[in-house]
Amino acid sequence: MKEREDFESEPFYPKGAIAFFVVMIVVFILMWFSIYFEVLGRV
Amino acid sequence: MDRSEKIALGLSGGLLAIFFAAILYASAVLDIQVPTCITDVEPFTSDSIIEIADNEYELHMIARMWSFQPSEITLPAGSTVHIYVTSQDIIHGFKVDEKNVNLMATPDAVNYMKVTFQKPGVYSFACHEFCGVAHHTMAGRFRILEPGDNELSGGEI
Repeated sequence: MKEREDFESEPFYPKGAIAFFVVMIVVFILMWFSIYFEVLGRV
Repeated sequence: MDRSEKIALGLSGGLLAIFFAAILYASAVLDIQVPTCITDVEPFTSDSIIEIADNEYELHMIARMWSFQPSEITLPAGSTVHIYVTSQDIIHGFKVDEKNVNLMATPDAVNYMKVTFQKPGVYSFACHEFCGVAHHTMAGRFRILEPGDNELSGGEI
């Protein structure tokens, strides 16, 4: 019972979700701009 | 709303704004176009290439099973080509290698796109819409000559 109280009193910080979001944004930027510059290179 | 959610929403919105600004820049400053369907002209029945200004040409391209007319176009480097494509039978495609040109050739309609060939070389084009048993043979090419090369022959221009 004491362990559960300790767990609930810890401030929650979503490290995994933030890491996933940052990686997702970086991958989107890389994918989008790689296609974008490919198109610009064909002008 | 949690602070993390606000940051995530702000980043997402900012990223979308950057993507949109990049598209506007490509369209307005670099003059990158998308294919246009010309609805107010009758489809032409014969192919032609006409010089409408210095280093600027108008190409009327006809697609049919299983060839393009004209299939070989010779132009000087730096040429800007206004490409009008139509089909005389079924739906075909018109895709130029190394360029952004990607059009559909449709019966009873004319599709348009503009392209500039700055570098000399051979730019192949092909049908990219499956159109029958000899679809894979339906191809042609732009031959872009070096400046000063007078090998403009074959009745292309």
